[in-house]
Amino acid sequence: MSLVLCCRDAMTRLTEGSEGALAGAEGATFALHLTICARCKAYRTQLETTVGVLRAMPREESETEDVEAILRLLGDTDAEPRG
Amino acid sequence: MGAADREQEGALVGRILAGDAAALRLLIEREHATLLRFARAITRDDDLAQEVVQDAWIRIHRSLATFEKRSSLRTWMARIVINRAKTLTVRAARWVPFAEEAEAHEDAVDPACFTPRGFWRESPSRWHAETPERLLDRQQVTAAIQAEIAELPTAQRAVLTLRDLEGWDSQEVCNALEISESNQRVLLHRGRSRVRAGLAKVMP
Repeated sequence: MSLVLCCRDAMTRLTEGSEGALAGAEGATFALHLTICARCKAYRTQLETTVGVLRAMPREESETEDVEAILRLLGDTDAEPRG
Repeated sequence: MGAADREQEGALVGRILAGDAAALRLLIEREHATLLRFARAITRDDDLAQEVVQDAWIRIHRSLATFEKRSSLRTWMARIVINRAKTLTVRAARWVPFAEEAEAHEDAVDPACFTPRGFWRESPSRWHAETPERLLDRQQVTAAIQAEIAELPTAQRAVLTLRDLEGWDSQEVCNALEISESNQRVLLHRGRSRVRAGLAKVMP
């Protein structure tokens, strides 16, 4: 990685950089670019907002009738001879 | 997943193997929705996903005694779901290996946004700082996100589902999908970038 990182390359590595997967000179160059580039910072904020929204999406709970159906299925297959 | 969680998981498996019906019910209540959402992500077909997960539960139940705790229980169960999905979709010639998708070229950001030297032509807009919960109150935001997730390529959808919707850590996702850390991050970044692009259309 060059010491001068363009925005396109910085944005390609945004998830790597934010997860701490860029080490040494690569990590330092990435961090420097994100410190000085307002446009990349704006994009990073958009991506962070996206991740925040994804993580805040309500989790689906298992439906009671599905759980009952699986339990019946397992009970039925237990009763079957295996082989 | 921490050591305490793994210990609890081991205790739950022990109770199920000892014939404790309440423990089996608890496992199904806790994991069925996740397995179903994951199966939908990798099969892209609701009916097939139901079939895959039912079949997977039978296999999980029958082979629980062989679970060796080298990975987390949910990783092991996800692998069973993948194997069943592979078997059923390979028959329909629809299975694309996850790593293959990661290695194909794809720009996370539209190349038209950059100058030939790779700098932004225009600044990305500044999104108003609203909490994720406030954003999700808007029906169009939820709808845009769901639509983008549904359109993601299979491997991106699988990684994003487990990492961002189900909250798994990267190691668990790599183990479940049998992909490298690097491929996992590439797929996650592309998936998040596509969802961001969809969200951008409805952001104020």
